[in-house]
This record gives sequence, C-alpha cells and structure tokens, in this order.
Amino acid sequence: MPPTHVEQLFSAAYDEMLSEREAERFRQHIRDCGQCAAGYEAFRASVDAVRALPQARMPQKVHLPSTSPVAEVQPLWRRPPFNRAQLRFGGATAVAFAGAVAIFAVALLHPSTTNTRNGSPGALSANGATGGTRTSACHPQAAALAAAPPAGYEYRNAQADVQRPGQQLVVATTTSQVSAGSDVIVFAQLTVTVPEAAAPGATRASPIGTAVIPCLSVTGPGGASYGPAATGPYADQAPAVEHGLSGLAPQATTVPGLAPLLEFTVPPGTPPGTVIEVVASIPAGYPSPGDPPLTVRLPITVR
Amino acid sequence: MDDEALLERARRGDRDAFAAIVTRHQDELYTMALRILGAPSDAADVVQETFLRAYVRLPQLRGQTIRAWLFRVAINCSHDIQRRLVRKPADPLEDAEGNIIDLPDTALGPEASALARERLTAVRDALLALPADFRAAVVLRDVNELSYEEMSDALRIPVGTVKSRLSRARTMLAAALRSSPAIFPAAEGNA
Repeated sequence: MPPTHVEQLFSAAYDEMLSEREAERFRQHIRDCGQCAAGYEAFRASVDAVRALPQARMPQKVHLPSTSPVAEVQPLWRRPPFNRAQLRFGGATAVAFAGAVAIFAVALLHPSTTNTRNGSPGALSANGATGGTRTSACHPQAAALAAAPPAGYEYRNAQADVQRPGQQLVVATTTSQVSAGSDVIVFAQLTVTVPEAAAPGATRASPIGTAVIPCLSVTGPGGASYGPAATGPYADQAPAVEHGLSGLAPQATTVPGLAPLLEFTVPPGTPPGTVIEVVASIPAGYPSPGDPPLTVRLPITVR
Repeated sequence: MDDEALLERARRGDRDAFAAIVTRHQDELYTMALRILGAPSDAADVVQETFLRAYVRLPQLRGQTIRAWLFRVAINCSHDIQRRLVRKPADPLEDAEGNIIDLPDTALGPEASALARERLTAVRDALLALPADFRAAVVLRDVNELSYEEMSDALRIPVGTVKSRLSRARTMLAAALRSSPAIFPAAEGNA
C-alpha cells in the first residue's frame, strides 16, 4: 500500500472500523514500513491526548421556564383540517347551524358590533399589515406567576405606562444579531402586579406578580409581516400574510403552555443587514378596562 | 429510566422528567461546548440555550434520539456563538474568578501538574486551530465518544462524510501536535 493510502486508514484503524481483511493488510504494512509505523504512532498519540482531556462539569444551574413542559398541543395553524366525517346531522346540529346563521346575519347587518378588540393595536395592527381586514384578533392570556427572562437573555427592551401602574412589558433575546438560518427564542411577558389574598391572621396582603402573554409578531423590512401575523398562541391564527417575502418567511411559533417563549427561524438567505423586528403588544382595555395599549419592539439584525 | 421514557413523561407535562434529562446530559454538553469554544462562560450559555430549545420543542422530538438531538442543537448554538464572537477565547483552564478548574488530577505533584497543564494547553490550542466543522467532529468522537451514527444525526451529514471528516480532522490535529514537546517529548530537540 502506498503511504498516502495508509494514512487515510489511520482513523478507521484507530476506531477498529476496518474490515478483517483491511485490518490484516494494514497491520502487515505497518510492520514492514517504518515511516508509516511512526506516522501511525504519532496519530494514535495525538488522538489519545484528546481523549485524555478531562470531562468538565456544568458550572451553573440550567434555568428552565417556570411553566410545565407542554402537553401534546399543536399551534392552531398546524392542526389538521376539520374532519367532515364527524359532522352528523341531527337535532343538535340543526339548532347549532340555525344559531350560526342567525349570528352571521346579525354580524352582516351590524358590522360595528364585531371585532370589538381589533380596534386595539394588537399584533396585527402593529405590523401594519392587515389594515383591520382580519376578523381574528390576538387575545393576551394570563399565565402563571411572572418569571424573569432566562439567564443570558440580556438583549431586551421594556415598556411601562403611568396609566398601567405596576405593569411592565418585556421582550428579550440572547443577542441583537443573528445569522440567516439560525433559530431565535424570544422571551415576552407583561408583568401585572395584583394583590394577593391576605393569609388568615395577616394584617395586609403582599402583592404578587402574574404574567400575561402578549401578542407577538415577527416583521421584516418596511413593517411587512414575515410570518404568521399574530403568532400568539391565543390568536385565532390564520395562514401567514404574504408580502412578496414568502420565500423568506420564517415560521414563528409559540407553544401553548410554554409562553412566554416564542421561537422563529431566520430564513436562510436573508441578506446581512436585514432588520427583523419582534413586536409584543397588549391591546387597550386589557387586562383592566381603561388600560391603554402597550407595545414593545425589539429589532434584531441579520449579520 | 431511559431517555425515551423521560421524554415521554416530559411531553405529558412532567417538569421533573425534563429536569432529569437536563441533569443527565448537561455535563457532556458543557464539555463539548467548552472544547469547541474554549471559554467556560460561552459553553455554559450553549448548554442553557440548548435546553431551552429542547423545552420549547418537546412536542416535535417524537421518535428522535434525544442525546443526538441535544448535541445537534448544542453544535448549532456553538457555531452561532463562534460567528458572533471575534475575540480570543478565555483560558479554559480557569473559571471567571481565575481559579484553575480543568486539571485532570489534583493529586499530581508540581512537576506532573505543570506537564499536565502543558498537555492540556497544547491539545486545546490544536483543537481551537482546527476549522469549526473538523473541530466538532473530533470533539464529538474523541471527547464525547459519540458513535458514527450519533455523529451523523448530530451533524446532519451522512455516516460516510462523518468518517472522512473525522479522518481529515484527526490527521490535521496530529500534524499540529507533532511539534508539541508536551505531547511528543522527543519533538523538543527537533524544534
């Protein structure tokens, strides 16, 4: 065997991955060729040195979201379509159908009575993408106790309002710059301070922070919606809005039960310098009547 | 309880089951990231981010080998950090407070400790000098002892490519270490 060919077998020989016949020929050559024998010895010693590196221990505790891992729930837009075979006509179905027709008729005659929440600057209007044409709206939802952003989520933006005392809307990621094709996880949460019920015998109750999951959207240049316009798990989600960027559209997902984390993939091929904006918003009147709208934008630049 | 059983429980909302997965794999992921990135703080960030992503993606992990999947995510996170950071890695033998953390045996005498540290430094520098893809191959195989199939899953390349990449990476590493007197004492006279 020529020396260059033998050298190509060093790695497989070390891992004992050569066939029996190859291994025998290899051993025979090493016995006969001092140059290859020395080369293989040096190869072995260097791999042994790497293998002798000590195992390290994770120096700090891994922080996980305070919510439980999710059960097997898919985002709404990924759920399988309605199974028509399950629709059986009967008395109850007929009544329900008649009711639906009546509601639809009322909605047509009194359009101002529908979409009462769409007038608020939720994720859809924050995108500037829908112009109020959608009938679905994002509804923030109260979640578990408020949690701090996970360790390392240092790139963040927060917003408060004097008319929302004790509340703060926070959006955070690990970095302000991402690569095309990479996955990004965003932390987003409105902290709402509410009084806790006083314990028996206690003179006063201490306030506790509860979390509200805001409406979230991911937008590209010019405010165009990149992905599902309202990616909040509580939005009546519809397919993504097209803006000529469908080939680049990342699929942003949040997983019910896992909020306040949003994950999206920066589309491969996104040009460097592109600014992707994560928008978190709480509509007016939520969670209390009279609350003004609240929006936080977090720009992320594609490197 | 094996990984798959823990994963199934975690999917049903058992937070402790997921915590058990974290405990089982955090050190090997940290070791991998440390050998790839060189800096303990960056390696810890990789582990944190990897488990967060795993937590978010629990529903999609059905049928996958969690270990290989975790390594795949950790490799991607490491590459993200490599692209983000253009700075000299910190000394991996020291923690943030400058304490020596990475010596193989604290019972060694001063001379043996010095030699061990030289060997560690030589191997670390040789590893960090490899191109990222080759470094990942060597670390996964020779530090974390993944099988070729697990490496194929983690790196998302065919097994044949794993073999050839590993072979080239090890050959490059051997060439880099050949002149190191800490690994090859005879090389000192030749240098």
